Amino acid sequence: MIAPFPLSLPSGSVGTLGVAFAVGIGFGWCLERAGLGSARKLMGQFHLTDLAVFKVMFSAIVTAMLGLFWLSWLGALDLGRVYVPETFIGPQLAGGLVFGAGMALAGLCPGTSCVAAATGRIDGLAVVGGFFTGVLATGLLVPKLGSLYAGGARGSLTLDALLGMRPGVMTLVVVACAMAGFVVAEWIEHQTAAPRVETES
Amino acid sequence: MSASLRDVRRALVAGGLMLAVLAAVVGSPAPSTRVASSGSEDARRLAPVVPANLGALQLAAWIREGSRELRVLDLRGDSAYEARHIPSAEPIQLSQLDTLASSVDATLVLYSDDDVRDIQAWANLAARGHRRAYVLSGGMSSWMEEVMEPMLHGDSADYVAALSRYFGGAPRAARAREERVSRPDTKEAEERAPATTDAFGEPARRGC
Repeated sequence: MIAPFPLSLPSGSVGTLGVAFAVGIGFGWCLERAGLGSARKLMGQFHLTDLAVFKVMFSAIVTAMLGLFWLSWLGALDLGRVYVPETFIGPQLAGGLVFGAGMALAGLCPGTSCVAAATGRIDGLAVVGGFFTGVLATGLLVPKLGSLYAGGARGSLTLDALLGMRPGVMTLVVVACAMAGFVVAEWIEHQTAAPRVETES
Repeated sequence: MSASLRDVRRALVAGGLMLAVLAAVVGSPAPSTRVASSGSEDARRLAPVVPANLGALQLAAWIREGSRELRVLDLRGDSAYEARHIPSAEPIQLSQLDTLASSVDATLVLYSDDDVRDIQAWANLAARGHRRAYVLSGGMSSWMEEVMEPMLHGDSADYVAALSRYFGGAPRAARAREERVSRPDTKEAEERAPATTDAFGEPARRGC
């Protein structure tokens, strides 16, 4: 028995789609409340003036990791049924570069662009159109990119397996990295925000 | 930031750190023995033995993903194993399960051609603390039907086809099935046909 999430439902069933819809709405609401529907907010990441994106995303990673660990330990979730995406070094490296360049240009990523579009921002709609165009183009090019598309396959890698650490110890290491990252991020924000305060006063 | 918000943030940070430290102490996210042994001894003795079943497609996905600590155990006997077996499967006899060297956290998938043997093997593993032991539903025949020669239809057709080809399978389009359904008299015609062996018991040639 898997609870609280019906992960054992067949793919594409009404139940699975309902859960996906509810999770999507919740995710979008959280992004909007964190102010990530604004391109200016996201561009602050690259100008090192506002690292909210880094903090929100790393908080989500740590929360999900701790949640999965303890829900599994309590017997409420079967980690063996949680899909771990496969690693393809070549295509994921190329995709990461394209994604990063697109995010720096647009000031939005796929999730935040949907949030921006849902709240009526024109730039959000433009980015949504752009990434659907990109998905279509990639789909059409896949047959010609066969060797690149499957290059560097490494299977489902996890950090603990890769580094030979126990999952619990890996959890502590990632949480410690997150905490250190938050301290450094706030220090950077403080450093870059200080001159602006003086100008305004 | 207000003082109350700062307090909430500090509490969340402290809670997260505490859970992380405890996770390091616990080590593994596998369900604890305390949870596993909840309930009275009587209730567990009276509980029916219902093995955890696993579909062939799910097993194929796990093998392809290279899931950690996955072992596939073939209980059908050496001759059946040598004739045909699931990739990465190990031949093993029921009596050898008592001395199976495997972590209790490992994922074990059993299959045979005998439901009783499946249940015996699964119960043996479950009694020795293997919480991730599964019986392949339908055994080797379901592997052949669902992975090696799957009938493709619906939204999952591409996924199933890719999975099948990964194992060297030959997925079939649903159209072939429809053609067979539209010509139900084919099998009857074959049954009505004369014997296909010649006087010496050898297969008779057709079309010559």
